[in-house]
Amino acid sequence: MTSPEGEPTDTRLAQAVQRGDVVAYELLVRRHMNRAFSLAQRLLGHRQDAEDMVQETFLAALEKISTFDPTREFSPWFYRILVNRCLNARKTRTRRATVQIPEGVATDFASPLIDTERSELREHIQDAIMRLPERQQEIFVMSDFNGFSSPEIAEAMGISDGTVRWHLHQARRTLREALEPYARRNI
Amino acid sequence: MNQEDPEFDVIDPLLAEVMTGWREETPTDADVDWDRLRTAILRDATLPLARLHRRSCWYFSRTIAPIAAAAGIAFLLWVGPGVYRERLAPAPEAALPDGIMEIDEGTLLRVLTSDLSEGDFLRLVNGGPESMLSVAIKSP
Repeated sequence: MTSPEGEPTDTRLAQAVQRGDVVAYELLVRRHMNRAFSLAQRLLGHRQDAEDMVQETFLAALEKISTFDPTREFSPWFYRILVNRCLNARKTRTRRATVQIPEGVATDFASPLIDTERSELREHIQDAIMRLPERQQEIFVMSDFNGFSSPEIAEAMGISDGTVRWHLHQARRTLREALEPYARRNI
Repeated sequence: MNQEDPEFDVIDPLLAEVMTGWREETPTDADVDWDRLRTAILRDATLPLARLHRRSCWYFSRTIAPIAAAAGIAFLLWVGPGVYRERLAPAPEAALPDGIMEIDEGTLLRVLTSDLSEGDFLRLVNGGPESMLSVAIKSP
């Protein structure tokens, strides 16, 4: 089981890690460390927290590697662990750790907004994401932050594709409602 | 709205815009010391990996090795009898040295249990088979 370039797939590497293969583990770390950090930093909003989270997540994944099903994709399985841990960390940490919405994003669609309103909008979206039911948060982040398809998320979570799409739809609707007052203001 | 609704998977443009910008924004990672982070991750993994390796070896010794041993024994039992019958079969009887005759067991018993005189017995012990035969013939 290798990629077209002859490199072993993530799944093959994970199987080797299940047997305690150090080299395979190092390869997996090299492949996913940057992306994992990038996602963790977005979710936690703090570089040091993100580094710690990536380190903890790799260890957590290794501790539960025996539960990884080699007939499935490694990537959704691993990022689900990361997303869960980030969301849990956000719940327990202080408001210091916040989802960072780039300034430019708010400016792009709400240019007339003054700084206070922009800041208020960011707060609203952050709060709305954190108020989503746990499963919806997880699915929303994996889909709309991390770019996983609904079948990939369904596989990782052991639920049907339809259920994933339903939760995603509910999450997006809730977030859209959170944006509603700002959209109306700019009409 | 149900899942068959064509609008089901359509993301609201405003939310899509927010999320796209959010997703495409690359976090500033210039300050990240990747080597240090990787080293820390690998250091954490040393013990769990060793444990997994040990468990994998244990699994081999507890499952594969007995199966291999059982297969080996089964093979020997299947092939073995032919081979070992040949090895364990008594060697062809060596030719007796000159002057020694074979005496069947019945004759021998008759001689030993007969009422021999002292002289006959000594001739029997010291003499060859001929003397034994003659004793046997004489005995009732």
